[in-house]
Amino acid sequence: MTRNGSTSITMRDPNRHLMDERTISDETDRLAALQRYKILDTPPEPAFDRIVRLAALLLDVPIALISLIDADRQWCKARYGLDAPETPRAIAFCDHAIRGSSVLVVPDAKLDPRFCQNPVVTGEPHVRFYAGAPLVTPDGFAIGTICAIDRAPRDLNARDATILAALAEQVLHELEVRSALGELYREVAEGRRAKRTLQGEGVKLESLLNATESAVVTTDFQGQVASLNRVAEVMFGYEAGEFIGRPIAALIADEATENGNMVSAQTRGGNGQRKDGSRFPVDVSRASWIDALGCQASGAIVRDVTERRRAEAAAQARDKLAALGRTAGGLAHELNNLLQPVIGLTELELGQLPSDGTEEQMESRENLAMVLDSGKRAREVVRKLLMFARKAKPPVAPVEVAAALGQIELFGKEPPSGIRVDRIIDENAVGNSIVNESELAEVMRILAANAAYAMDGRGTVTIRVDRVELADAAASLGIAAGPAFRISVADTGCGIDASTMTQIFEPFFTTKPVGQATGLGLPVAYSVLHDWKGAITVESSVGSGSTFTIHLPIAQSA
Amino acid sequence: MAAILLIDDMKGVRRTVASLLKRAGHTITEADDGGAGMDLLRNGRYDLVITDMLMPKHDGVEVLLFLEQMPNRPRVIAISGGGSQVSADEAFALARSKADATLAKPFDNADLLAEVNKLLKIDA
Repeated sequence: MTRNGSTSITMRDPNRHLMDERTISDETDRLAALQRYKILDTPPEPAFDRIVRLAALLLDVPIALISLIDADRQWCKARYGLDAPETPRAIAFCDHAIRGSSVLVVPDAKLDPRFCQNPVVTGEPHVRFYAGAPLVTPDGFAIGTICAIDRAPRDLNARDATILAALAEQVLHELEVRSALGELYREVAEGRRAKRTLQGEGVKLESLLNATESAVVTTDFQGQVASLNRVAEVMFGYEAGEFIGRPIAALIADEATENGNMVSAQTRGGNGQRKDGSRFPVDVSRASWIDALGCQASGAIVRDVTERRRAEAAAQARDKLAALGRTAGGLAHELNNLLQPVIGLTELELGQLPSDGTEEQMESRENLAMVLDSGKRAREVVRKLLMFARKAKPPVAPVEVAAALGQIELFGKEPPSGIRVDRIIDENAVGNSIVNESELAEVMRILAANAAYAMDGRGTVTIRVDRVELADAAASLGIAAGPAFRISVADTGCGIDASTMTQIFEPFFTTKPVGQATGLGLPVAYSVLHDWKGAITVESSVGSGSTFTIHLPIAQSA
Repeated sequence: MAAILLIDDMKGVRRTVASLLKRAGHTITEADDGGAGMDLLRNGRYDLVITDMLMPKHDGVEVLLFLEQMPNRPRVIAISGGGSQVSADEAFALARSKADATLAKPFDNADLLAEVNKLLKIDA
């Protein structure tokens, strides 16, 4: 029954006028009473939730509600076993319950003419049993009910009715307390809930932060670290809690930190600095917010991108090599064909000239000898270029590396005078590597020639060979863990300065005068070793010499 | 001394090889493509064929396969400078099994003469 329904009756039947006026007036007062509690459409509150749970448990029913009857709807302050927060008043059982002063019991709704056609009976949630105790305010208005609902017909005994009535009083008591405390009640309840939610959120957040592989650091308005997750502490090498209160600038050096602009929507690259001072590349994403004290706070999510950068650099080097390979292939074909007459015909003409002719003939001889020499140098450049580009891969086979290294002629037949060669081959350096022996010899000759050049023709080249087990250290070399030969070529020469060091494996970079080098020696060594799944590294100090170290995986015998 | 057929699309290479072998006393016939070379092989007798592997129209592979079909085929040296798509090694992959000798361009005169003499059983 709705207010509109009452009005239409009033208009049609003047004899019922007074009674309906009173009804309307009563309903208006009832709604005013309900409004005073300021309860409609408020969020769930534990005090009321507890009561419906108690009702369901004590009466052994699947559904219990605290329902409030608004002008044209029933709204539930608390629900147990039912999802819908409100239903139209027209179909509300509770609208019937509030008209009496005692508990309304419907043992089987299907047998009750008032309810048998009700959609909540014929459809979801299939109400069969209903018991509702009105919530009557101290000034006598029934503003709603506490009700128990079952999907099967049943009876309500006296004890159950007493319980329901008592719970109705409890609901009203809560409503009264709530109303008397006003805002305070809400604040206390919300505060308690917020605290609980916050504790839950805090635990959730902490778990999440520790589950990610990114470092998460928050800072206060001064840029001092307020919190950091475990990943951050491990990433930067600090003990738990050690870095709290220290400036974030000591952890992350990037544009944003340097400009004091801690907020940036973009992810930026920068450098992280560990406790031991070592640096590593990072990507940083930042966010900022106003904290509980009203201060600007910010946070950074930091990822260690060392591996990614390394992979990118390796991919770039591979692309470069592949591109060079394509170029070198085409170039080599043309140059090799063009060099054939340069070398062949020059040699032929040189042979035609008398070895002791006129001065002019002698000069022609020298000129042709120069052309021949240049042609042969050009041939060497092309050959090295192809070797570097790995365009042609000579066949590989198991080679006893230590034995081979003992025999390789590093400088042709004899080392240049003034250059001493020491070979120190460890007796444990046994086993095979899968390589091409003549290319291995060439790599060693390249290193020996560089050593001799660095020593300006005077000094000692020391070749050391031993066997090592590469564990995790192999990752930094970029080769697989396992047994490997370590071959070092050390000189007592001038050393390599830092800026040269970054370029020595670049093709066509050379410190030697034009014409004295192809600029392809070390790149060839690097490229060949890479092809054999090995590695070459260099250590040097200016003034005391350089050591090139090769790691070559030892083939595991089947 | 010997009749040698030289097949190479590069004029400079032909001139170099021809000059060298003429001075060594041989008779040289030149072809600038595998097709022309095979025509010459159908109509003449040669003791030795020197063929480039990579040529635009009919390449050295065709020449080698053609020679394989010939009764009493002449000896053959394959030469190659590698190419834009294949390395000298790849170009020689087939040559190694079908030719009697292979040389990578640019080779030294002495190396060519040594191979020629070996195949023609000439004592240097």
